[in-house]
Amino acid sequence: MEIYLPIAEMSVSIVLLLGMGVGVGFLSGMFGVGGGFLMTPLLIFIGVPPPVAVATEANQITAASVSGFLAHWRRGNVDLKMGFVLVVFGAIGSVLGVWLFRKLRSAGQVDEFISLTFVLFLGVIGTLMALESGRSILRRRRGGRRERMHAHYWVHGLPYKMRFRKSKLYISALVPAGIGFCVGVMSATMGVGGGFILIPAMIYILGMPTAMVVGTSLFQIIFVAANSTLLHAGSNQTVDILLALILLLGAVVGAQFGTRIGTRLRGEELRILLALLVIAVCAKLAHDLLATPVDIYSTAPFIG
Amino acid sequence: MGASNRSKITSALLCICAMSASAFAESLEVDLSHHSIGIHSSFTGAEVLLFGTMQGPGGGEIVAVLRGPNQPVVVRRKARTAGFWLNRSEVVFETAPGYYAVGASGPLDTILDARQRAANRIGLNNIKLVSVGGATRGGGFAEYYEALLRHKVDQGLYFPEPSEVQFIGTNLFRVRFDFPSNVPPGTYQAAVHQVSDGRVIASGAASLVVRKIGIEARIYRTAHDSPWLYGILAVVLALMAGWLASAIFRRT
Repeated sequence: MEIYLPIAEMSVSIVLLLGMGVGVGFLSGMFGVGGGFLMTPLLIFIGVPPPVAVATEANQITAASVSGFLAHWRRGNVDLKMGFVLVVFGAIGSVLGVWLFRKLRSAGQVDEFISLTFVLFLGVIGTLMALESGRSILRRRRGGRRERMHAHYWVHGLPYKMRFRKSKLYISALVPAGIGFCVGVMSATMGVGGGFILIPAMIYILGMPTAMVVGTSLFQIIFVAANSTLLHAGSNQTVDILLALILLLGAVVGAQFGTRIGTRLRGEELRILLALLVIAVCAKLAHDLLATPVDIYSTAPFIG
Repeated sequence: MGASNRSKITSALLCICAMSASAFAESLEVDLSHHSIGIHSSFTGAEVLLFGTMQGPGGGEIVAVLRGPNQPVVVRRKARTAGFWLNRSEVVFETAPGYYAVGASGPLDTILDARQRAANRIGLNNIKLVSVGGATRGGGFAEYYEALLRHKVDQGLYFPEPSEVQFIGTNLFRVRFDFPSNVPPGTYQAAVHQVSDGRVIASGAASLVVRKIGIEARIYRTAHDSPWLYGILAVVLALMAGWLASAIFRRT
């Protein structure tokens, strides 16, 4: 069954869109990522103009993260206090990020800077996560000693300590504030939700339990994605509400299933799967940058 | 202004009038099967029939061009920089038609010579794309032009081969044009020429409008007329859908 999309200005199969929504929503509920990294190229591949793809998927991510967040909330896997600190400082960071983006753009070379930084970031994070979680899986197999809940290092010596009861943490509020701020800057400059950066930071820098990280990350993503939807609709008119509706119908259902599977896995199993996903995305981006393209020309509507 | 200047202008004007009179000696009667195509929610494309009557007893060949609304398009070119493939240069084409199709009663190059085809903007290479600004570091302009044509053909909006013009009886002719589902809305202009011995002896024109109707039109209008309200609606819709899914799954 085909439907005509009023903003994307093309007709596509409803079943295909629903399927894409379920798949990406599943990953979202399982890992606490938005899923934009997967949805953008998929939408562009089926012919949706890139600006419409990016804006519309922000709308779909909003829905999927609400669905996933509520499912994790029911299981008691959300640290709201931590979430609020991340959201508030994330918002401050994204203001700086937008300013930075404009500076970079006026200096030219913004695309190069973003692609390269992103590949570098994902590569390092993915590799470190894979090594760490691989080691803990091996250690568990051998039946070795139980790990400490989290390592203590200089981060835990900072002032303004705050108790995060849900995450069983007593750390300086400067740490989550700083992480939220950095993720805000990055998501505004790179145009990504920031889940890939936020989740490893929460696990390894803050030392939060993996199960708590997924739900709390989804809580933060709701705000980022809703804000991004509003800005795209308001200033570019590129949100296709009909496309979003079909995608999010699939995504909210997928997110519920993803949460069910995700909460059944052990922390390190979840971490190694996420690490593999991060490495796969990094490899894809690196391939796009390094391999000789099939067509060195690309066309797009010119917005002057 | 001197008298000699005035007479020069007058003779120039007379000359232009004479030229256009000879070029369009007769007007061709043509029409389209639709003057308006509505894009509704189950729109998957359309076909339009162009038909008309040939002038005079001499017969001849028919060439028709159907052009969609002009849209500015940017063509970017990647180049290898320090091992990475990155967009390095671009050309902006200010007036690329959103749709371009030709109909002909025979092979184009035997009906009209290259100069005539260029003058009447017939064929993919004679669209007359105008480029503005944009540095063209490395590579010629022609390559960007070709890339644009190639991509539009891939999207099903330009046609590399002309559609066949069929004759019915001695004077009637018709040709079919296909519109894919991604046709841009706007005004489409058809220009039809009757050719005899390599010369255009009569020309005619017709037009049609492609526009969104029903819910498609309402969504598009809301998105452009009140973008912030539309954005808030989109967010509320997402929040409600997420909550609803969670509520349904809680029960099962």
